[in-house]
Amino acid sequence: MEAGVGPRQEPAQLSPPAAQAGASRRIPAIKLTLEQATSIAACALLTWLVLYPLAVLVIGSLRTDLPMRAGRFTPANFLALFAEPANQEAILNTFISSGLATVLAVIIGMTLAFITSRTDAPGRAFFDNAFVLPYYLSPFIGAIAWTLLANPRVGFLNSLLTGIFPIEHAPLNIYTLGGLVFVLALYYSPIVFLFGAGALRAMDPALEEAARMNGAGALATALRVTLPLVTPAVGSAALLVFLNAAGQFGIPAVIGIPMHYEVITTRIWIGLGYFPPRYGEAAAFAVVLLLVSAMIMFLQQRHLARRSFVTVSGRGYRPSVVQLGALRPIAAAACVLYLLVSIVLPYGALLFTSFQPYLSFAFEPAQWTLRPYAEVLLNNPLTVRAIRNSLLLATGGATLTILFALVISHIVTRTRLAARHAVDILATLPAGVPAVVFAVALLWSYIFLPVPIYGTIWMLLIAYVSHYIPFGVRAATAGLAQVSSELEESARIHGAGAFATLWRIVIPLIKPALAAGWILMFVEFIRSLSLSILLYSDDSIVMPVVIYELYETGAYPALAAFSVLQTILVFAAILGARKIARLDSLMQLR
Amino acid sequence: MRPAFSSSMLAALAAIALAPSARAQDQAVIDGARKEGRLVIYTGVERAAAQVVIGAFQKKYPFIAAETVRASSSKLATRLDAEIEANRVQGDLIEFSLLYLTTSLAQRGELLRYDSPEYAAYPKDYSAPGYWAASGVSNIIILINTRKVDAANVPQSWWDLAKPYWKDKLTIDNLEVSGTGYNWLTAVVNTPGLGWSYIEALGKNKPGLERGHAGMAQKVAAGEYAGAAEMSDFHLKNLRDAAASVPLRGVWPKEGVPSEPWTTAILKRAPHPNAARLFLDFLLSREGQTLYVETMGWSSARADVPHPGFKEMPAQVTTLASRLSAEESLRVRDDYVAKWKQAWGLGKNLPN
Repeated sequence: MEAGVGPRQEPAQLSPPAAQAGASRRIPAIKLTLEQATSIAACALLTWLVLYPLAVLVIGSLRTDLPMRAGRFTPANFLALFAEPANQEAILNTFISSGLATVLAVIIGMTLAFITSRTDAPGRAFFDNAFVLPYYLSPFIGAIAWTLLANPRVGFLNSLLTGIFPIEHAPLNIYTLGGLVFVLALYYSPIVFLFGAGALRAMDPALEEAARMNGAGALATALRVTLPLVTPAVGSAALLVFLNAAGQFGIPAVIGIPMHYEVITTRIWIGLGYFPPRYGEAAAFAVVLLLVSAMIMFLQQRHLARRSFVTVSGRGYRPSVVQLGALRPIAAAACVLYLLVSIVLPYGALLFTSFQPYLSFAFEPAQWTLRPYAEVLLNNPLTVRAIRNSLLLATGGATLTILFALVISHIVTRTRLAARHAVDILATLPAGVPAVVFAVALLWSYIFLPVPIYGTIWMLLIAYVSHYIPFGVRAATAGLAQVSSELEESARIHGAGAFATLWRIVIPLIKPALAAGWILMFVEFIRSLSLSILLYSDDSIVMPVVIYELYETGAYPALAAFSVLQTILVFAAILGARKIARLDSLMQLR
Repeated sequence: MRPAFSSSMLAALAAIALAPSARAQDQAVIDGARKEGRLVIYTGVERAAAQVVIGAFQKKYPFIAAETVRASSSKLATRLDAEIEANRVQGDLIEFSLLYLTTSLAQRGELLRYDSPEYAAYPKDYSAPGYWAASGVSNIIILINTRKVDAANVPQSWWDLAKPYWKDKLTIDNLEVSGTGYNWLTAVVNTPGLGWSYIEALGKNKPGLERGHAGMAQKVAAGEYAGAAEMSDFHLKNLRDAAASVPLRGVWPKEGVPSEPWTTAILKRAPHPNAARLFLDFLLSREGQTLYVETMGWSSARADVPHPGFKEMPAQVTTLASRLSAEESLRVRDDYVAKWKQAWGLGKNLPN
C-alpha cells in the first residue's frame, strides 16, 4: 500500500525540472504519438479487463435477467437478498468473523513485530524471515490441515491432549467461531507483522527519547508516543486484513460450512451451485461485498494513507531496543509458538496424512505408503491436468501481468499524458475488489458472450491478470523508482524508440524488482482458490480447485499429497525470488 | 429381485448375452466416433474404478480420448441442468445414483434414444431399454470401525443402531441432497418392520451429518465415527484396496439391504453421441460389466456377471423389495425430506 503511494513522487525529484523540460522538447513528435497510442491501448485494455466486468456486475445486479438477455431494471435481487434471513445472517457473519480475525491478527502481528523489531529477543533475523512465510502459504490448505489437527472427534492435537492430560472429551474444536477466527488470523497476521515491523523500524527514536527524557515512563512512552506513531501503518494493515478475510473463500468453506456458519463468499458459491443457479443473488451479494471493500479502501485512503506518509518517512534510523532480560525466553517462545501453529503443526499433519493409505490418526509406520503421491501424479488425469494448467497459468499469467504492469507503470510515472490518470485509477481498482466478487463479475461478463472464453483456460488467465494488475504495478513502480528517468531520456535522445528503451535500458536495470514481482504473482496464481473456484471447468481445472474437490469427496490422503506438492512449488518459488532479487530478507518482498 | 447373486441361470443367459456383444458394431457408429475422437462421462463413481473400465474401452477404441468428470450425483444433476439451460452440454454420458433424475431427464426429452443390443440382458427393474440401464448395482449397508466397536456390539439388524450404545457414534449423509441417502430413506421407510419409526429412533442417537459417502467412509476408517448408518458397499471395497488392514467391516442387516441402481444414459445434446454409443455398449456388455464389478466391488444387473463378494458378506443377501419407482420416488421427495428433517429436529442449514 505505502509502496504504491511513496515512490511515485520520486522520479520528479530525481530529475531536475529543467532537464525534463529540455528532454521533452527534443523528443520527436512521432515518439510521443507512439506513447500516446500505447497509453490509449492500455486504457482500452484496462477498461475491458477491469471496468467492463465490474460494470456488468453492478448493472446486472439491478436487472431482472442475465446479461445479454431481455429484462428490465429492478431492485428485486437486493430485496430478495435482504429478505432471506440466511442471507442477512451471512452478511452479519462476514463482519463478525472478519472483524474478530482482524483484532486477533493485529494482536499477533504487532506482538511479533515488536519482538523482532524493538527487543533483544534471540533469533530475530530468523523470525523476521519466518513470519512472512505463512502469508505465502495457502490459507485454505492451512484450514484443511487444522481440521485434521483439531477435529472434535479425533484430530491429532485432540488425541495428543487427551492422551497426556486426564481429560475425557476432546478440548479443541475447530468447527467453532473461535476456530474460524483463529485460522483466519493465523494466515493474515503476517500482513500486520510486515506493516508493523516497517513502521517500528522507520520511526525516529528521537521522538521516544524526547518523551523519556521529559520524564515519561516506558509504558507512557509506548502508549503516548510509539502507539500513535505506528497507528496509521497498523490501521492500514488492519483494514487490509479485514478486506482479505471478508473476501476469503477457502477458510470459511472448510471450517464454516460444516458448522453451518455461512459468510458472503460461501453463500455466493452455494447459491451458484443450486438448480437453477442463483445468479441474481450472487450478483447482489458480490455488489454488497464490493461496497464494503470500497468503503474500507476509502477509509484507508482518507484517514490513514496520508498520515502514515508523514510519520514514517526516511530510513536509516536505529530504533532503540528494549532489554527483555528474564522475558527473553518467553518472547522467543511466543515466536516459536506462532511458527508451530501456522506452519509446523498443520504441514506436519498434512505430511503425515499424505503417507497414509486412508485417513488415519494412528502411528503405524508399517502401513505408510507412497500411494497417494502415485495417485495424484500418475493415476488421476484430473490432478495431472491441474498441475499442468496451474504451471501454465502461473508462468504465463505472471509474465503477462508484469509486462503489462511495466507499461502501465511507465505511463503513470514517466509520462505527462492526460490518459495517465485514467490508467492509474483503472490499474489500482482491482486491489479493492475481493477475488470472489471479481470472479462473479467475470462469470456474468463472459458466460453469455458469444466468444468461447468462458469455461476455457483463457477465462482463468483473464481473471488472474486482471485481478493482479495492481500487484504487478506495485512491483514495477518500485523498480522504476530506482532508475532515474535521465537514463531513459538519454537513450531516446540517441535515437532509441520507446519500446527499445524499455526493453534494452529499463528492463535490464530493474530486473530484480520485476523478478520478485513475477515470482510473487506466480505464488498467488498457484494457490488462488477464491478466483478460480467460480470460473474453472474440467478442462481448465487448477491445483487449488482440485484440492477443494479432493477435500469434498473425502479423499484425504490424496488431498494431503497434492497439498504437499503445491506447497513445495510455493516454497521453491519464494526461494527463487530471494535468489533472483538478491534479498537479504523476505520482508523486502512486499 | 436379486440380480447379482442369482447365478443359477448364468450358463443359459451367457449364451444369449454373448451373441449381441459378438455382433459387429455398426460401422457408421464407429466411423462417427472416430470423427468425434472424444468422450466425456459425467459420473458419480470413484475415479479410480471408472478409470479401469475406460482404460479397457480405450484399448478397444484407441481413437477416442475418454475422460470423466466426477462429482456427487446431486452436483452432477445441478451442473447438467445448468448446461441444458444454457444449451452448452459438455457431457455425453451420465452415470449417477439418482434414478428419478434420470427418469425426469427422459421425460423432458433430454436423453438420446439408442437401442443398444445389450439392453436385452437387463431386467426390467434395472433398465428402460432405449434410454438407460444400470451400469452397476450397489447395496446400501452399515459400515463400522472394528477398533471402535467390539464384537458384542456389531449390529445384526438396522434396529441395533437405534440402541443407546450408538449415541453420537454414527454418521449419515445429508439425505436432502444425497442420492444414495435418499434411496436408503425411501427403501427403509417403506419396509414393514422398519418404517418411519426406525428413522425416528435412529435420530435419537444424533448421527453426525456429513456430505458424501467417500468422505464418510474415510472418517469411519479414521475412527472419527464408529459407524456409518448407511453406506454404499463399494466404498468398503475401495478402502480395502487402499489397505487390506483398514479397520472396517461391512454389515448386511438381517432385514435386508436397499439396492441402488447407478443409471447410465446418453444425453440428447451429447457432443459426441457416437463415442457415447460405443461406450454404452461396452459398459453394459458382459465383458465391461465383469471388469466393472471386479474393480468397483458392487454387483451387476446382468444375471451372467457374478458378484465378487466381501469376506463378511452373508451367503444369502436379501434385497429390500421396497425400492420406489422413479416416478414415485420423485413425487414423494419433498414430503419425505421434510418429514425426515422434522423427525430429527433439523433446521435449514444442512451440509451441502
